Amino acid sequence: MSETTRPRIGMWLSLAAILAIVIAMVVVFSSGFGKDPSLIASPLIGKPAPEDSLAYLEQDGVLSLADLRGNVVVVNFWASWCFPCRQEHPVLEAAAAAYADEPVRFVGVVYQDEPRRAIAFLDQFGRAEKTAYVIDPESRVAIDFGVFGVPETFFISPDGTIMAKKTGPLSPFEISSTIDTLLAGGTPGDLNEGQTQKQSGG
Amino acid sequence: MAATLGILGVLIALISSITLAFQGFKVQFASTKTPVTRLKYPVYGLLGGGILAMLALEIGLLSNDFSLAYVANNSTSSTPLLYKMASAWAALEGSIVLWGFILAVFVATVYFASQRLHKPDALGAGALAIMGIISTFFFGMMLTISNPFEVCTQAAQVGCMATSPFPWVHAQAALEGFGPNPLLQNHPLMAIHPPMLYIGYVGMSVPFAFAMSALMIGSGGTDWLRRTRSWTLVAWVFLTAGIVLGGLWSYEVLGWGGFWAWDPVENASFMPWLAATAFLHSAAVQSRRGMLQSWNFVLVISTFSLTILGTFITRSGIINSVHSFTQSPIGPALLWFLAVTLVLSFGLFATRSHMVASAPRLDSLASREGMMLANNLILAVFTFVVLTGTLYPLIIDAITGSEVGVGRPFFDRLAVPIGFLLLLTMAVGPITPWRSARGAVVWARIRNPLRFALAVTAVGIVFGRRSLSVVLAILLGTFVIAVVARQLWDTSRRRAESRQENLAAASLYTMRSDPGYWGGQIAHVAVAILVIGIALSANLSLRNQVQLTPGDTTRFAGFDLTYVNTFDRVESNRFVTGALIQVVKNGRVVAELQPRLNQYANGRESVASPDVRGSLAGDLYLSLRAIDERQVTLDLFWFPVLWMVWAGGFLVSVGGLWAWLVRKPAREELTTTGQPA
Repeated sequence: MSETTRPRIGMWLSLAAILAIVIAMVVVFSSGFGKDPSLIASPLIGKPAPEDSLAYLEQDGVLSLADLRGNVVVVNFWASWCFPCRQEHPVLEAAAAAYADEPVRFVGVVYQDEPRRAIAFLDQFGRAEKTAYVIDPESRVAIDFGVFGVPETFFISPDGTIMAKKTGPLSPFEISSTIDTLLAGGTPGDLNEGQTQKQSGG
Repeated sequence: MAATLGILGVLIALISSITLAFQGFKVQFASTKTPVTRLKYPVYGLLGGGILAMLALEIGLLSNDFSLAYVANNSTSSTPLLYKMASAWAALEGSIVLWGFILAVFVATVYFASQRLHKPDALGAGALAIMGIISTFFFGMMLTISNPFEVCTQAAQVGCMATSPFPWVHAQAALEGFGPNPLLQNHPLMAIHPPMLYIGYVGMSVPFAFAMSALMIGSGGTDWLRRTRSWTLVAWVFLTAGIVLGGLWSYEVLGWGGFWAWDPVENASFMPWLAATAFLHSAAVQSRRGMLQSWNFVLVISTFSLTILGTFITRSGIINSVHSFTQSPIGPALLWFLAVTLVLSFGLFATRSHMVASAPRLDSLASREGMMLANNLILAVFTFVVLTGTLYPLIIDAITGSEVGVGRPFFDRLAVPIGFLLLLTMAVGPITPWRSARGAVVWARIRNPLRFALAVTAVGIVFGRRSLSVVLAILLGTFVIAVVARQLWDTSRRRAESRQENLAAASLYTMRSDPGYWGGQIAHVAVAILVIGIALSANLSLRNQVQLTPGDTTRFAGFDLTYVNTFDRVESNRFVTGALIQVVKNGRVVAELQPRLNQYANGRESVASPDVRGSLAGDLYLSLRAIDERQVTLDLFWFPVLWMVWAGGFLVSVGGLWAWLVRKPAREELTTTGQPA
């Protein structure tokens, strides 16, 4: 008896599984119809920022985002091979100087780049005030933040919540208005999308 | 006229496909009495209709027949001949016509092969019926939601505003067409890359159709595998070449210096390639040892489903990508086709698998079949990783409503170790004996290659850079190449000695004696070259951005680059602005490069055309970013040994081609096999 029924139960189970997977697939895919897929916000907004530790680029020791609690934190992912980052670099420098006396900290995370080249980049274009330049050799932090090109910038509130994200280079106005809103305890609005660069060469 | 001809072709093909599906099943169930030749007329009808539709589209394009809406919206009278022809697949509706045409050709070849058997052929008739269903779907789409032969009833100044699906209504031809997408008329590769991919995609429907037919008959065995071997190989060769050409296109057109970005559309072609590669290997295990029967069904269904998924991803507009088509009703239709395919094929497999699978047990994991199993598992994991990364944004969007991107780091971190594992199985697998391998035999075969690889790597470490991925790529890559070289040398030398032949003749004989095996070895060497090329060019590349005024010279990667002057010219379909850059190395002018910006009439943004000077040492790659009277902004790239990427990529196809072209050696002439026992 069981000899003949067992394969039948298995068969019905697998049929049910196939049907369930396919229905789920149809639901997921059809939810995408009629939307513009090029607008990508971060699902991390409103969530606590990842707290991985990051080694400093030019000195010993590590930095954890948790250490910066109480400050507005601007986390910027950049690389020496990234051309939009060159355009953005002076904007970040100016902002770091302007907010030097406020509880605002800047973190520059080097994304998919060699420390040597990143340091050469800073030698050439300058270092911003009160900015921690850190490296992310295995892209662990970049994956946690869902980075898919540089530059990308995240704004974190004093209690450690990700409040806003900007894809592409920041303008002076975007950076100051977002920081001011966060300092005042408000919620910044959407930032416009910009062009990022994926790493080339493979 | 083109519209009438085209619709006629589509109608004939559609009616023939439906007939083929019904008649095919009838012949399958009564195959002892009914010969396959009963299917002659539906097959001829499908082939004729497919050819007629394709021809009509090309005639419309080449004769600037702007009364066809497709021609008005995707071509102009000034488009160069090559791109006019390629416009047939540069947009949504036309690409479906090419798909249907290729499918019709495959159906015809399956029919002719089946007819040559000169005996009742239930398996072949069932396969033809399945292919009839698939072509019913594609030609059905052409007649309804994706009609490329709609006529223009209200012309705009450039292009067509309103259309009608009926060819006999009064057509109002536009004076001039809108022209193809600028990106798609910027490089001749556009003319061959998509057809190659489509042949690869559509070709995978043949083993799928035979597998379904075998399941319906309920007979297992290697019959369906053996009979579809040629088609699988051909499809795989074209798919491989199509993917490599796609990389080349990306490198030469997009101006970012890269050739692979884990873009959803690239992934869409890579996933069926991975599954098909696994299938080629496990099919070899089944033909040789009768194992992995159920697994082969799973792989062949997955491969076919992934080609449909890929078609869906590129045509639904639900995933953001450089080369996806716009949103249209084709998306939902393809989704339903995919869903029905998955339910019916896996459902049939679930109910019938006990009838077709009776597998001998694996004697030992340390054996050729054990290594093939390992390779299949790694390839399956690889496919799953790419699938997950590609679909993750959609799944998250559906569940949480927020939109997220999966970037390159995710794919790179998983793909690199998986790739190295694959290289390892490539080195050891092919020289491992079947059934059960003694360690001593394997060690004797890999000892010297391993020493050689270690020596090369040591030299590389001393003189070069020490990044882990470069070291591993060189170590494993040279190991794979050395194992194959030792194997070929050993076998041919023994033959040369015993028969007094010269070594070249003996090695050619060896490679021809077992083309399946040696084709695989060519492909393995090719993958090793490809991996070394990718690792070196990615890790040792140089990049810089400079701004130059006329007469300025900059030093980059050992070259002196002088910005001579700006030039512009009008070509038939575009306005070209460029910078003339003189390249000097060691005091000698080695090249004059002309990176350009091309402005097309129907494009808002100009398209950069990089200029590349290739050499054995590497590629000097200049891409124009901005230009005005006073200065140019140039992206400079240096990619060492990039030729290895292209050479390796195309050699992978050559491996498949070898296995296909040299197959069926004359048995009386070739008595021994070059393969180790």
